[in-house]
Amino acid sequence: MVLKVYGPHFASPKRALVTLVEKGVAFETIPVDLMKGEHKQPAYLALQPFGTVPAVVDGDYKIFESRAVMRYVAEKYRSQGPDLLGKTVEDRGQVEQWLDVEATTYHPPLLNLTLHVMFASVMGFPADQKLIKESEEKLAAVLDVYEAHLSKSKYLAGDFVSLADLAHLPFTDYLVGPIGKAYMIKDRKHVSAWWDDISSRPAWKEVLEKYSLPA
Amino acid sequence: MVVKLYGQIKAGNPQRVLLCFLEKGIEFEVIHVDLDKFEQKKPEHLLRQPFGQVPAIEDGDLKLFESRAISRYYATKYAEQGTDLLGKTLEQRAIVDQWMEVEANYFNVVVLPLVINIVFKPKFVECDVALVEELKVKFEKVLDVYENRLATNRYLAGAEFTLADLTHMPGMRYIMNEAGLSGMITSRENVNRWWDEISSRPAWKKLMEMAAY
Repeated sequence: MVLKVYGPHFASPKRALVTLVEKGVAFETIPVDLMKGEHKQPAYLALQPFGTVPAVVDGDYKIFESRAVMRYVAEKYRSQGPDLLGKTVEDRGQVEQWLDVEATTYHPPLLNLTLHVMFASVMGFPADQKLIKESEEKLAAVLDVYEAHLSKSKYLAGDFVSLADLAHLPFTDYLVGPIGKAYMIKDRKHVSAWWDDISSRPAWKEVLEKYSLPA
Repeated sequence: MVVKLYGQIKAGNPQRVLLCFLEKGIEFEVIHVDLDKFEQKKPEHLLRQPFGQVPAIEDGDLKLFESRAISRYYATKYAEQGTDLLGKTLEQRAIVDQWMEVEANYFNVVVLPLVINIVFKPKFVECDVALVEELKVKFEKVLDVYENRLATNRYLAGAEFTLADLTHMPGMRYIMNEAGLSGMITSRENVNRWWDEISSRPAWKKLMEMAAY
């Protein structure tokens, strides 16, 4: 039985999808209609009790939270494809560190920008301009730290691409695209080079091609 | 050589790491970073933690920050020593990871602003009552999911205490104490039972002794 990923058209599930493609793991996707509230129905809540995407079913095994899925796939298929966890326990420590930075520090202001710039009108609430400005400022300060770090390190966890880099792909893709703030990446030399590198990986291109949001 | 933890024993994120050390019987040294004097934003600390936060650790040549990452590293490196905090199989570990992510992405995202707005900001400005009420409603919804999970599982990741439970403890302590929201916990039979059990653990009691509230 093939691993199934629910909600492939949305950003968070793409963290899981890109990891699966990088590792060459077969999978199926099952769309979830957020506009119709499918994620709040009992059948979906049985898979993901917070009613968010993704949810993953692997045979009898169920797991949610995109970064937990990334770790599961990277560990289970360690011997195939690139080693996205690093070679040593210490390497893995660096991967975990930057994966957590993405979750706790990079993602929150970027999520605000995503919701208020991209989805406010669709979801029916007024875009909070003050929050957009504050979130951009917060994200800029974080990107300054990334710029300094990436001037000394090819990828976030070291000289190897890892889950930490991949975790940034889906929402940064929104930032440089529909959110209209590509300058935040392009104006920073090392962040820009890093972004060009990871976003041109074949696995990411495949995920975008197959699962982009319908216009 | 003993691992050095830079931070304050009374601060939530350093406590996550300290608790991991105590559960695993790992020797450590705490190097106090004075958060009241914003020592974490000074150049010397920024070399250890470029976002100006605590904790950071130095263990010989190894430097790490982000308390959950540090905890995972030590739980992995010292898997054979002290409490098993990660589960034995790949599938078990992934469920531990899942609930650690839930703590970061659902629990902490409401608990942190609740604690800031109820406990810390009112020292300087008037409490934003509307925001606190909004956050409390969100927190109730999150706790309902936990109540359901803990009805059929003794601990968040299953039958054993793991990092998934441990990672919640510093935040839960604020909720039960300074934030004055213990009613939200005691009114939920399973969450209450879980908190009672995990806060009775010797490592937690030792941490509370060290913190000397």
